[in-house]
Amino acid sequence: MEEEFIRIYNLYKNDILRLAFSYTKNINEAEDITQSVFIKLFKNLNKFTSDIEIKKWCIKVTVNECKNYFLSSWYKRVIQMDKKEENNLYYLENYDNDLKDALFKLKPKDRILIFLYYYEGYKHKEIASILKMNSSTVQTKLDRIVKSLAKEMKGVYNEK
Amino acid sequence: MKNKFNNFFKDIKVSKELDEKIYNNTIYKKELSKGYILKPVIVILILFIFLGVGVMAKEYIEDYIYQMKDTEKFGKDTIFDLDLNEKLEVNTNFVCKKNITHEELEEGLNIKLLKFNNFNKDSYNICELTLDENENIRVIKLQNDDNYSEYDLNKEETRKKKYLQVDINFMTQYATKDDEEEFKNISILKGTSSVSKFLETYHLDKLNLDVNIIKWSESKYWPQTFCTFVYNNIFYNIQGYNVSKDELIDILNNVEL
Repeated sequence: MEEEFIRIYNLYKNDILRLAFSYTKNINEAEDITQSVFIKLFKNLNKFTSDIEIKKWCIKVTVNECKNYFLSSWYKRVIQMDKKEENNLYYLENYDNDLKDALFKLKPKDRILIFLYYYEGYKHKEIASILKMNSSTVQTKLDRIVKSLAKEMKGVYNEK
Repeated sequence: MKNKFNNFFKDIKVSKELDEKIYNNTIYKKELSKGYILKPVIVILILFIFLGVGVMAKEYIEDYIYQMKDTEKFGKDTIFDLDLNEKLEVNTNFVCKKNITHEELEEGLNIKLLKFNNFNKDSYNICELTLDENENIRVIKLQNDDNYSEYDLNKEETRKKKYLQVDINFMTQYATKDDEEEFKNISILKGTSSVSKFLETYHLDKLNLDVNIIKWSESKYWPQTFCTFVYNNIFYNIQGYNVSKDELIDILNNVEL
C-alpha cells in the first residue's frame, strides 16, 4: 500500500498544491492543506478502485480543506502584519500580470472553477459532480467568470 | 487561455521539505507505530517468561526446604521403630487372591492386622507378594485399593472423590538381605521426600505410638494426606485422597485391633 500511495502522491501532488494555492493565494497555507489532503488519502486509499476516482476525491477534499482553513480559529487569530498578497504571489512574477491580477481578484470559489476547467481540463458535468453543483449552474458561472476575467485582461478573452 | 493557465502554475511545485513532512505523517508513521505496538508486546512476553521461571524456581526452593525440614524431623533416631531383624512368622503357603477381605487375609496369613475404616472398600483389591524359589511368600505388600490407577484424573469428578488406601508392608521369616534393604528404603522414603510436607506427629492412644502425618505437596489437583507408623513390626502407610488431616486422625482413632 505504501508503494501505491507514493505513486499516487507523485502523480497528483503538484496539482493539489496548485489547486490549494489558487484558492488561498498563499503558498504556506497551500502546503498545509496539501499535507492534510494526502494524510487523509493515505488513510482511505484502500477504498478506491481507480486513479480518476482518487483525483476527484482529492480535489473535493482540497476544496473543503480550503474552506475549513479560512474558517478555522487559528487563521482568524493570526495577525498577518506584513502579509501582502503580492509577497505570496512571487511565484507568478514572471507571468502574465494581466492574468494574475485578474485571476486573484476573483472570489476563491470562482478561482476553483477556473482552475478545474482550464487547468485540470474537467468538463462542466465533472466539475458539477466534484463540487456538488448543478451542471447548468457550473456552465453559467464559468461564462460569467470568463467574461469578468476578459474585462480585466483587456481583450485576452478573444484568444479562447 | 488554457495554455496561459498551464504556464501560470508551472513553478508551483511541492518542495522536498513538504514531501518529507507528508511521508513522515503517512508511510513512515505507520512503520513507527508497528514498533510502538510490537516493542511493548515483546516486553510483556519477556516479563511473563521471567515470571514463569520465577514461579518454578520458587517451587523448587520450597520443595528443597521442605525436604531439609523432613530430613531433620525424620532423622535416624526418630524414624520408625522397625526391627528388620525380627521377621514375622506367617503362613507363607497361603495363596493370596484379589478381592480378599481383611478377615480372609488374617486367617490365611495367620497374623493379626490393624483394620481401618475405608470410605469405599471393605476388601483388599490387590495383593503384592514376593515369592521365593519354592513359591513361599517372602515379602508381603498389601494395597487396599489400586483402582485409582484406572481413575481419569483429568476429570474433576474423579478428583473430588474421597477414598482411603492402606499399604501394609511386612517381611516374613524368609525375607533376604536384599529385601531388607528395599524395605528400609520404602519405610524411610515415606517420611522424607522432596515433595512431601510434614504436618504433625499425632500420638495415637489406642496403639500407644506416635504417628507422622504428612501432606503430599505434588498432589495439587488431588490433595493427599497420609500417615505412617510401625505397629507389631508391620509398616503401615495410610493414604487419604481428599482427606484432611483431621479426618485422617479420626480414622486412626477408630482403628480396630
